[in-house]
Amino acid sequence: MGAKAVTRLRALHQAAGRRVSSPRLAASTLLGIMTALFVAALFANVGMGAVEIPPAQAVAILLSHAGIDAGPDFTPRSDAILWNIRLPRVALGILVGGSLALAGTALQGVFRNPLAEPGVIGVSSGAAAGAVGAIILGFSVFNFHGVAVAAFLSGLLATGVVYMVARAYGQTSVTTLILAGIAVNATAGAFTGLFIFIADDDQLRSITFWTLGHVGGATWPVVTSILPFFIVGFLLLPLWARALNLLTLGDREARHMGVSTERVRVSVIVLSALLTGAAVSVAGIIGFVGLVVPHVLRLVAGPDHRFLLPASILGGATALLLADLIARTVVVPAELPLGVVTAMVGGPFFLWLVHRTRLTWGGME
Amino acid sequence: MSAPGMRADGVSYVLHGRALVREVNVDVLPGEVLAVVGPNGAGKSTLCGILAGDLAPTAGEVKVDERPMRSMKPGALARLRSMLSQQTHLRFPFTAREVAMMGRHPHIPRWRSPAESDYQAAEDALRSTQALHLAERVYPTLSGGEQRRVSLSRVLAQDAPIVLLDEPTTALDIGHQQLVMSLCRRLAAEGRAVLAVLHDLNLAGAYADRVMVMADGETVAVGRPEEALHAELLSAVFDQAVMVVPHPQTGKPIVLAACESSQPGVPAWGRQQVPATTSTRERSAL
Repeated sequence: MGAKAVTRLRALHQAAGRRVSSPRLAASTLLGIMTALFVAALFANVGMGAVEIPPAQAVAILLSHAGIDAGPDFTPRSDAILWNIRLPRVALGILVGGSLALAGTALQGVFRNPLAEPGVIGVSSGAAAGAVGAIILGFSVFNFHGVAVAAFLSGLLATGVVYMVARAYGQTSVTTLILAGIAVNATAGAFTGLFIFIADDDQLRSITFWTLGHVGGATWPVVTSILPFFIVGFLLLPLWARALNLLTLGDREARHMGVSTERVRVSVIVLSALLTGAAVSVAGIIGFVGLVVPHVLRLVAGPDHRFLLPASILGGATALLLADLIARTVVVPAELPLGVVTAMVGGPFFLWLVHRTRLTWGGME
Repeated sequence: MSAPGMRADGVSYVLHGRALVREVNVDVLPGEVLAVVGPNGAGKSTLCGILAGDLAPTAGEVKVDERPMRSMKPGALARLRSMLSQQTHLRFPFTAREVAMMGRHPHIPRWRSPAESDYQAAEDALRSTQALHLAERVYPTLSGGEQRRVSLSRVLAQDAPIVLLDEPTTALDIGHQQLVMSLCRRLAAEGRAVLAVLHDLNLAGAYADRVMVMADGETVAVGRPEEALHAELLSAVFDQAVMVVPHPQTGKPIVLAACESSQPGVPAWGRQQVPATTSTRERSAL
């Protein structure tokens, strides 16, 4: 009896010793796939529309702006459409998508919560309240500076309130931050509601247009004026990758291993608010990019922020370009609001993702 | 120059008017395993938190390598002491190897990638806790005991001269408990200072150089296991009659809960010998 059990035990040990590896894609493979997708989305966005511009022509037009004459001929009309309309729109899409996804990834890491997205720190709802308020005060949606500046400043203000409230004894608690975010979101939502209530019909149209998200009105001056914020965020946030990895173990553990947790948290929150604030101020509310892109990447590449942070810029940019392609091609000659497309595609996709994660890992936790 | 140790001088921690730790002095000395034991709520983990720098003592001071801990930066401190907390919640699907690698953080300069020696240190740490076969598994899918060993690997990979372990053996089976305690001995033999909070008095008795008994936030005894693990003292501290017998092989103290009904009329606690009747009965039951 005893000897038999021991033999059986040995066999079990051997079976357990076989290695089980996690189903991850190598970083280089994934990066290759993502780059290919991004380039395809880029040329599709530039080329598709009322006037078709094939990739070769698009390249030729770009080169001509750099002073190089090369490749196939193109009409001045193609040139004007590409350079003045489609390119700024694509550029804005890349910046907005990249920053929403990057901020989402960083915030999920710093909050150790896969539910986090740029909205949790109050920046989106704060920006919305500011933008709607500016519209009520008579700024036009197409007057970039009035509405965008109001949105940007009120977004940062909302994040500042969230942070101040959650801070006590020189430390912030993740739970308190999330609760404060909920409270600030509700308050900002109330202001938005109030402004909508007192708005007239024209203003209502503007408000609806703004809150549904858009990158259509992009011009080069718009792109260049917000470019600095994006560059600062894109360059600085990935520097915190290793600290974010350690923070996923918990604050105490991260500190035991030498991370200045509070400094990491402040930096990540400020940079994420800058990125999201800049994105929302020029493009309105575009949901799900900041939530879904980080999840998909983490699922296929694992949770290492050293890869996730830079990759989410590329992934977010691609996602937004594809969404914008859908937005402006499915109901030609009209356009769907961009935020409607991202939510319409992102919502069901996220549902499937959550369900799948529940099946494989027994939940997101 | 001797290896760094840690010293707490009259540390207290008062929360909402209640002293969780009161004027405790501890020396965590290089080359030594110090076990901290005591009933639930005695302040063991609070003391551990104070020593790790998680909690600022409301009175007293902690010195690491003769320097006040308050004045040290997190990075410098992390190269001197490592700490295994009671629980680690990790929701993100890092592999066991990645978790062990995190322990190398204080040794990797900010602008550099991990060196070959860092990967090697993480692998060695996983091997020494018998968790190398789990290296590519995803941490949240491991069992409690497996997670514990991987967390310990992370602490070992940190390669600090002072090692604080808050209940390193909970959730572990008897074999892995012995493994972890042998690791503590090995760390001490390497000249490190080891402090372990333990619930298992027998592990403390078998592996510690010194045992510190805590009750109600205070130190009630410190000394060699044979001195500190005293039946009368432990019975009072734990409010449970216990007896202490020597291990048949090593002679180290073994603490057993006394069975009061086994011999009516004789007070069970404080007895130093196992009654023959008990052992015969146990043998026949097997």
